[in-house]
Amino acid sequence: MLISSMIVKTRPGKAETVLTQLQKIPRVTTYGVHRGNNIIVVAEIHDIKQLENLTAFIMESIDDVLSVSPTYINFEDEIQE
Amino acid sequence: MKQKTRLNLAWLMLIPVFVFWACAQTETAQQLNQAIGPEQAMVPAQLAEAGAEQDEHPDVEFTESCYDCHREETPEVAELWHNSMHGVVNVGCFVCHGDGTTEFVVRPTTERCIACHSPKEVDFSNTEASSCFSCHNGHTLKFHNE
Amino acid sequence: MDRREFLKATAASAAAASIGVDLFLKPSQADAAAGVTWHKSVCRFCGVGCGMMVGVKDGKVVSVKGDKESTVNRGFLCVKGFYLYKVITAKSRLRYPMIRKNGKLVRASWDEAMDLVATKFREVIDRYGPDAVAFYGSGQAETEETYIANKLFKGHIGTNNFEGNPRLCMASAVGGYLTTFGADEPVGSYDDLDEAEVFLIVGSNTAECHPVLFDRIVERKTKDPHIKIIIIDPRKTPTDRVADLHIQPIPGYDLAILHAMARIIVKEGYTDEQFIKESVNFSDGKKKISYEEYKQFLEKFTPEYAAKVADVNPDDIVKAARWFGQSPTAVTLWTMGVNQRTRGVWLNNLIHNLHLLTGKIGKPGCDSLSLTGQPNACGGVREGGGLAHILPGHRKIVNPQHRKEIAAIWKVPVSNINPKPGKHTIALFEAVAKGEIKALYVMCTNPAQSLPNLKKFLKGMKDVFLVVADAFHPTETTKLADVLLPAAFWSEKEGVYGCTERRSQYMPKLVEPLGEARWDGDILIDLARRLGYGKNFEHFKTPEDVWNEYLLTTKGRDMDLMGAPYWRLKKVRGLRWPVPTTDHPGTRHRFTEGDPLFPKDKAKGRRMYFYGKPDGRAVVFARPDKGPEEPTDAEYPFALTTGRVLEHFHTMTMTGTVPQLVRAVPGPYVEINPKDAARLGIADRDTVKVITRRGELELTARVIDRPREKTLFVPWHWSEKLANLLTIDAFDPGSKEPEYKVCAAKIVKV
Repeated sequence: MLISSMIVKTRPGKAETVLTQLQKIPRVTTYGVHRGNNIIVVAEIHDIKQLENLTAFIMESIDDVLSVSPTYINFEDEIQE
Repeated sequence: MKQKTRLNLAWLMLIPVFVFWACAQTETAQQLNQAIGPEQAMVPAQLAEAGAEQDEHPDVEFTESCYDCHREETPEVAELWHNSMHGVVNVGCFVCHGDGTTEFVVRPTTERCIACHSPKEVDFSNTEASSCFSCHNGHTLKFHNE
Repeated sequence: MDRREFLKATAASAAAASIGVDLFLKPSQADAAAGVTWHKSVCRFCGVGCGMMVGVKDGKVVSVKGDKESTVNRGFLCVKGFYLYKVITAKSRLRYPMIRKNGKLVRASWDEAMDLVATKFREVIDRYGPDAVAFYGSGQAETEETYIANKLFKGHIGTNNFEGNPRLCMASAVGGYLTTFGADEPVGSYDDLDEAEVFLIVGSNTAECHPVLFDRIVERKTKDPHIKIIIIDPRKTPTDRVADLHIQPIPGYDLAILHAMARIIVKEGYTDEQFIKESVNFSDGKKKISYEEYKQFLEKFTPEYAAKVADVNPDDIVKAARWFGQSPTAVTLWTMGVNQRTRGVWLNNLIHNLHLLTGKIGKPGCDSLSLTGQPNACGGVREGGGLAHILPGHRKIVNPQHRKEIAAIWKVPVSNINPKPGKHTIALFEAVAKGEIKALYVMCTNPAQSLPNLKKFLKGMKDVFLVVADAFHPTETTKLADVLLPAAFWSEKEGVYGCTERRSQYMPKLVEPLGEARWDGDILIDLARRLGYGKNFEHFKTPEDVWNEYLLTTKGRDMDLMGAPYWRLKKVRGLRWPVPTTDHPGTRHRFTEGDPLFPKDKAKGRRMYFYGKPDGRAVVFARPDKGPEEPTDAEYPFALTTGRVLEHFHTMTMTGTVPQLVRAVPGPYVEINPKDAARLGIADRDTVKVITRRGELELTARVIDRPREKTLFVPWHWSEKLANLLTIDAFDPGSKEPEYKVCAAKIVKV
C-alpha cells in the first residue's frame, strides 16, 4: 500500500464541482479547496502504475481539471513488507 | 539509520514518476506556478524537501566564519544577506542554517524564525501562506520580493 | 489517529505546504501535541534583560523563544539567546564536586567537599583573621545568591573582602551616576529609545554587544530616517551600519571631544537655562564652581583643540554638538569603551554633562543610559551591595547608620560588619598573589581569564586555597581550583535578575539541576552552617525566603522594591524600581513627578529633584581631559583595545559549548587597519605577534578597516589566546575599574 498526495487544480469557479466528483473515487480522500481552486487529494494505491492510472483518470475524465501535481508519496509500508 | 537509507532509496524510485508528470504537465505546472507564486508548488523542490532527512554541507575545513567563506564562494547570496535586516543586525548564516556540521538546514522552517520573532507568530490557517518564507525572501527578507 | 490516518494526514500536509497552506495545526496546538509547555523567564546572557519563553518537555528544556509580552525585547532574541537552551546540557557542565588531591582534581562527595571548604576557611579565619579570606562573585549570579554570600562574608565572617566582576565592567558607571546624580543607576529607561531623535553612542558596539537594543534603534531609524545616530569610538563596528556620523578618536583621548561638544552647546545656546538654574550645580571635582567658571573652563576646548588631541575632524565635533543640542530629545548609550578606562568616572560625568546642560534628562526620549554587560550586575551587585565598599540597598559600608540598618536585618551585632571597606578587585587579587589572602571563594565567574594583566595574578590564584562554584568545567579558573562545586544553571534554579533599566525580573526553576549540581544559594547556606553561622540562614528554605529578606533592605531606599514580591514578579514582565507598593506600576523616570519618591514639597515646582543630593541638584563636572595610563610611544606605537563579538559572551564558558556560535567566529584574531598592515607587510590571515610590556600573543591577523590607524583590536573570548595577558592592570582611582580598553602595543609578523 502506498499513500500519495497531490494538488488538483481546477478552472476558476469549478472547484466545488470537481471536488464532488473526486469524492466519488474509491480510496481517494479530499482535504478541501484551498487558495481558490486547489484541491488537496490523498490516494491510497497499490503501486506506481495505479497512481499513474489514477492521475490520468482525473485529468481526462473530470471536466475543468487543469492539472494534477503529485506532492508526496509514502513507500514505507511496501519496504517493510 | 538503516530505515532512513531505505526510505531515501525509495525516493529514487519515485523520480521516474515525477519525470513523467513533469513532462506531461509542463504547461499546467507553469500555470500553477504563476497562480500561486514561484516559491511554492515547485515539484522538484518539494521532492528535495520531503525526501531529505538531514541536509549536508560540503565538507570543508571550517576554519573561518560562514560569512567570510561565503563572501567568496557565494558572493551574491552573501551580499543579499549583508544588505538585509539580518545583515544589519548581524544575525549570521548559522542562526537559520546551523553550523554546517552538527546541524545544517538548507531551507529553514518557520519554527526557527519564531524563536527570535515570536511577536510575528502567525496562525497560518487563515492565510494562504504555509511558512514565513511563503511571503519573505529568505536572504533579503523582503516581503513578496519588493 | 491510526497509522494509516497519520500517513494520510502527512501526505495531505505535504500537498498543502506546496501551495502555501497549513492544513492541520496551529503552532500552539503543535506544541501541545508535542508535549511542550512554555514558561516565562529571562535571558542568561547580557544586561539587556530580554524576556524569554522557555519550552519544557519531559523535564528537559527543549526550546526558547522571545517573550512577546516583554517590553524589553518584544519577542526578539539575539543569536546568543536563541541558542541558550543548548548550554544547559553542554558536555562541559560540571556534574559533581571535585577536590584537588596530589595535584589532580578528583571526584568527591558533596559532604567531603563542603567539609574541606569549611575546615579550611575556619582554619584561615582563626589563624589569620577574617580578612585573610575573600569572596569573588558575579553580575551573573542571582540577587538571592549574592545576598546570601554578602550576609555570610560581611555579616558573619566579618570581612569586606567581597568583590564581584561588575567591578571590571560597571564600576565607572556607578561612580558617574553617584557623583553626578547622587544615586546609582539610570534616570530613564528603554522606553526613551523609542522616542529619542538623536542617539549618541560612545564606546559601545551596541550592534554586537546589546543586539536587541540595537534592533530597537534600527527600527527607529528605519521608520524615521531623520533621526541621527552619532558614534564616538576608535573602531568602526557593525553598529556603524546605521550611523550618520562616526567620530573615531585615538583610544583614550575622547574626554576633550565631550568637553568640546559641551562648549558648542553652551556657546550656541542649546542649553536649558531654566533647568540649569533650578537643578544643576557645577563642580571642578574638588569644590563647587559657578556656571561662569564652568564656561571659562570650557574655553580651552575648542573643536580644533579636541580634534587635535583625538586626531579627528573638528567639523564632525561641531556637527555632533549641533545635532545633540538642536534635537528636542537625545539618548546617550555607552558601555566598556567609557567604563574600562583610568578616567572612566570622568567620562561618565562628561556624558551626563551634555544631558544636564540641555535639560535632556528625565523626560520621554531623553536619558544618559549606561548599558550593562551582565544580566544581574545592576540587580545583584550594584543594588545588592556585592562589592567591597557597599551594603545591600545602595548603602555604604563607611556609613554607621547603614551598617546598623543592615546588621538589624541580618540579626547580627553591628560590630560584626567591619567599618572599613575591603579590597577592590585588583587589590584583592594582588593580596592573593602576595599570599595575604589565603582562601578565596569564587562564584559564577572566571577571573583567571577576565582579570587584566593576568600573568601577575595567575600564580597567586594557583597557590591560594581556591574554591570555585561554577556550572562549567574546565574554565581557566576551575583549572586552578582546590575545590570545585557544581552549581545549578539557568532554568535549574529560581531567582531574580535586575537589568540595565532598573527592571527586576523573575526566573523560574523549570528542570532539575544536572548531575549533582546545587543552587549556589544552597551551597552558601550549607557553608554558613558548617562554619557555625547556621542560625541566621536556616529560615532560608527557598529562594523566595531570601528575596523577602532582601526586600527589607530596599524598603524606603531609592531602589525600593517592596512592591516586587515573587507572586507579583511571577505575573508581570519585571518591575522598574522604585516600586514601593504592590499596587505601584514601577518608575519610568526617576527624580520626576512620576517617581514615587519625588519630594514635591522640596521640589517647589521644579521639574526634577535629584534627591540623592542634599540640595536636589545634579552636578556638571569640569573634569580635566586626561589620556590613557599607557600612551603609545616609539617602541609600542599601537593602541591595543579589547572587546567582544556578537556570538560570544565574555569567557565563552557558555557560548563556547554551542557549535553554531563557535562556527560563526571560530577563533581568536587581531584586527589591524589595512594601511598599518600594508606598511608592516602584514597580509590578511598572516600569523602575527602582538606584544605589550606585559606579554605577547600569537594571533591571526584580520586586515580590516575597522580599527583606526595605529589601533589594534583583540576580542578576549578565547582561553587558548588570553587577551588579558596583554592588557594593563592600571585602574580608575575612583571606581577602581581597570583600563582594558587602552594600552600600548606593537605588532610583528611571525
